[in-house]
Amino acid sequence: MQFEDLLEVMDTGSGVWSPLVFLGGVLIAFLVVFIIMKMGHPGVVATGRKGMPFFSGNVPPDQRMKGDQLYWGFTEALHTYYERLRLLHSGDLRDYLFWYLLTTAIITAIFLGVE
Amino acid sequence: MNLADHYLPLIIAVPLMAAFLQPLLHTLLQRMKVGPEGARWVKGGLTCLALLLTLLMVLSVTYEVYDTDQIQTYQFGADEPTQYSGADGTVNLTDSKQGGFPLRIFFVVDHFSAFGASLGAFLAFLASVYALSYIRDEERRGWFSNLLLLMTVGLLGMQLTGDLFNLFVFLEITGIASCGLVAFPRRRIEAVEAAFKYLAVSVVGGLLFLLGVGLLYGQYGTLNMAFMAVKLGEQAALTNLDKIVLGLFVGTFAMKASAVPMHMWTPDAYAEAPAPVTLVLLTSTMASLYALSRLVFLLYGQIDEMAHVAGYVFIALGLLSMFVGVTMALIQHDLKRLMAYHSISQVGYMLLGLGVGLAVLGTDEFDDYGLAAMSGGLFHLLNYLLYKGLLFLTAGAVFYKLRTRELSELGGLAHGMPYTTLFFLIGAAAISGIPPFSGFASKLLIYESVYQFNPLLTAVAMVVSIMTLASFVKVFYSAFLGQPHPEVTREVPMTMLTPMAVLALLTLAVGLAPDFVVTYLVEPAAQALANGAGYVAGVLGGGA
Repeated sequence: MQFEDLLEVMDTGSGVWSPLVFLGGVLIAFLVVFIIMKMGHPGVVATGRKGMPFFSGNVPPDQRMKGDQLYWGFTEALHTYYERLRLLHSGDLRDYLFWYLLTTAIITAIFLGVE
Repeated sequence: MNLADHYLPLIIAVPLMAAFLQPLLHTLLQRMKVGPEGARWVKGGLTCLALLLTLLMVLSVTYEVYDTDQIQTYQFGADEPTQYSGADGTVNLTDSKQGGFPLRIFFVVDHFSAFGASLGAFLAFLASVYALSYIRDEERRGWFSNLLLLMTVGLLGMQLTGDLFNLFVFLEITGIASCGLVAFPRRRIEAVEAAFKYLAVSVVGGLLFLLGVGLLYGQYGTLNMAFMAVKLGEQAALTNLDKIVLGLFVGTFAMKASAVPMHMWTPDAYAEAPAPVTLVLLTSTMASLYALSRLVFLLYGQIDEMAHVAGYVFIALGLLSMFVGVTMALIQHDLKRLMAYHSISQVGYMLLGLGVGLAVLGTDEFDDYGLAAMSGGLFHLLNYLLYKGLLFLTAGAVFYKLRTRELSELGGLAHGMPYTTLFFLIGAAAISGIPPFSGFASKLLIYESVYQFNPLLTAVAMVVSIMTLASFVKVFYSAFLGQPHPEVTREVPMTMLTPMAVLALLTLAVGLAPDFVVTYLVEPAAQALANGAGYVAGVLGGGA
């Protein structure tokens, strides 16, 4: 085991991964961003719409957005799925045991079907 | 006598002794009229010391196994517990003195069990350090330490034993101790309720596992796992009872590992348990995954058709766990409950990786991508314990300061708790699979190997990873950003920061040197798991 082993590229079977090369890439990207930023006009102050947080093209509401509201669109679109999921998570111990025993029974039935 | 020869039983005996010393120590300290601060350091210190000793012994055994590439065994009650082979190295446990089969209880350590035991002992030690400040109930600290030590005994025993009934005993020790720990904040009715539910499912699970062990014992007359594997391999075809036993084993340990749809106890227990306990609960999940994988690969892995079907069952459970876990996490507003659902989701990745390996076991595809998928699953297990442990400790730090876990009541914590915020960010980036953090490397290994099995599975895994990131963005935004919180002006004590810092550093280190970890630690463990014949040979003689 050598120190160089720590820097080895990871072989994933069909590709490779090297965090150090990635970090080098990130560094170059930061450098490019920094150069572009330096090329801009200094002293620009974001006012009006420019200074507001982006809110899907709408005027953001006055009050602070809560974390719960961040994915409202996603959960609303999956409304039916979530309704069923909530039913599944009833908090009732009998349900816990039912799902455990049912799943075990299904798994056992699958194995019994193997020749 | 060489003490190092007896490390295997001592790994169990030291925390067990320390656990039973706690009540004695409590009485002694009361008689000596030691104040709460002194008692905290003495009782907590004893726990830390015992777990540090245990960790050092586990690391020593692990080093030995990895260095020599040999399976270590310990035969309880034998004249020479570590040397049972004859001069020519071929006399084994089935000699005449044993009555033709292995009678005694064994501890067996191969790369896979050494890998799991090291992680378990390490996290248990960190939990004991974190608990020094986190547990404020000095009157009941002894109980806490006692249960924490017993739980460590159970989860280490589960990974060291080579005996099926012994596995049941350690499973029960882990289950009972962890229920006690979940109920530790006994004034919270939710904690007591969560513990009761966990106890109920654990007891039923334990009984079904015991039923499975009984069915095997009734047929083959042995409890030794290696010898049981030999007996099963000798059959022309598996009996229906063998198949029922496999169903009971998979169902029970998948439930204990929090696989959907048997996961409902997990959010209750993880959320209500004190943070250091949650850290150890993670390792008990790992011990269940260990038992699940070990039993299926060792006992049934030699029967190709059965192994492949079991692999598909693992994959189905993994997919369900990944998707249901992360979608449920998205709608949580209790910080620890949210993290608990992410735990379920992460277990799904491990089941997926192990399942793909199992589904192609014994075929040419196993060498092409099966082993890589299993390595990915085990690598993800390692990363999961590091970053998920870190995240639960940061949640504990938040609860320690504000006594609430509701995201809507948090906000602006980054101002008063900069280190905790940094640690949370590292953990969140790792679990979300952002490069170059550790979670990315293990997920990449899973993605690429699973893609060759079925591209659709990889697509689901990637979507789940994106949703994980979305969920942690929500937490970071809700809890740490915004105006400074008026009640949080100082960081948590150093004894709580240190375990978080250690886990954060390890998460970074593993992310920066993934090949090193996979090559020297994970892949040998995956190979040992897949090589049931090697395990049998290592235990029953003939070399590993």
